[in-house]
Amino acid sequence: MAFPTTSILDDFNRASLGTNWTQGLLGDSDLAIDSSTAADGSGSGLWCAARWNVATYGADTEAFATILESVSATRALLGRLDVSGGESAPDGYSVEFNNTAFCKAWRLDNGVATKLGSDFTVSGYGVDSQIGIEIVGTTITVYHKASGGSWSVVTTRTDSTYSAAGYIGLELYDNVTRTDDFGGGTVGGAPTLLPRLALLGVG
Amino acid sequence: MAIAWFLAPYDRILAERFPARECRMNVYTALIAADGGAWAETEVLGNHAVVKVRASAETLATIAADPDITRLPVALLDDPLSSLSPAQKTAIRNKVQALGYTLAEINARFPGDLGDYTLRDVLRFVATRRRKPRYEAGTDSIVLDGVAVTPESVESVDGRVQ
Repeated sequence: MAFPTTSILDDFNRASLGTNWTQGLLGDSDLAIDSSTAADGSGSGLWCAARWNVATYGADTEAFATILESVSATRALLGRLDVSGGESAPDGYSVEFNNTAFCKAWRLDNGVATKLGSDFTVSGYGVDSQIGIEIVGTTITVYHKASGGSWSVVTTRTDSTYSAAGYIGLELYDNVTRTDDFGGGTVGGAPTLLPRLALLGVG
Repeated sequence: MAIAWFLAPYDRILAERFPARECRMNVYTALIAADGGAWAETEVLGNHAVVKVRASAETLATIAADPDITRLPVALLDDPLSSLSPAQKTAIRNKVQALGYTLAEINARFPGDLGDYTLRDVLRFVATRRRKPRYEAGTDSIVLDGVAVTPESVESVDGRVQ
């Protein structure tokens, strides 16, 4: 199946984050907007994290984003998030990306992270790269698209623990990190549940 | 290249943004990758994983020398345990009990001689359950006392490393 099958949810082309993101995921807050991109507003050497709260997706879920600066800072995409135990102790999956250290896939249980398989690297990861994750059944597929290139599979991991629909989210490390065009949803496009409508501006 | 099955512990990783742990086999990823091999795991009871590794005989021996990793004495799931010595069979029973399965559970599943069973039988039993972890801030520890979770099957792990 082609990746992705869904569209951009947030291009961050505005002054403030708004109400479609819930902060506090994994105990980290301060996802912010800077120069129309997603930024880590928590400070140097700190993490921010938030989930897209407009709908839950899945069970088969995907998420993606575009890397801007700093390429060496870590970003993570999350899926099948269950926050019924609290924002700081979610269940679900997270995949970290960077180009100077190892990338990692995690299973989250009550906010405790268990690494799935080995560390891995992403070739050709740089500015304007796109990163993606797809969780279909028990398979977590990690995708990368270099600037000007095509989407390709980086690696896969397998885990059968969490199989229900959930939220997708984003984590950023360090206040020099800029990320854009966050997207995702149910693989194939239809959201599972719409707890509330997204607010639309009327001009 | 050769195949081996191991029981490997999870280690706490301290330099992460959240309470985190990884399978000890990750320490040997570079060696396994240098062989052109692979490994896959399923977490089981007792903060351990059942791990299948494809690597050179030398790398498998290096992994087996890890004092916290147990190499199963046969390599294929359908290999019988009939060739194992009494000491090897006792060691397997003791290891399974050390993971957290009771003697009653083990004896109920494997009455009589463990040599009457296959590696698949033993690993399927080991992968009966695991416990959901939580973080205990007061002791800065990951505690495995949550609800029982059914692990990924050993057949799935087997299929991921060929």
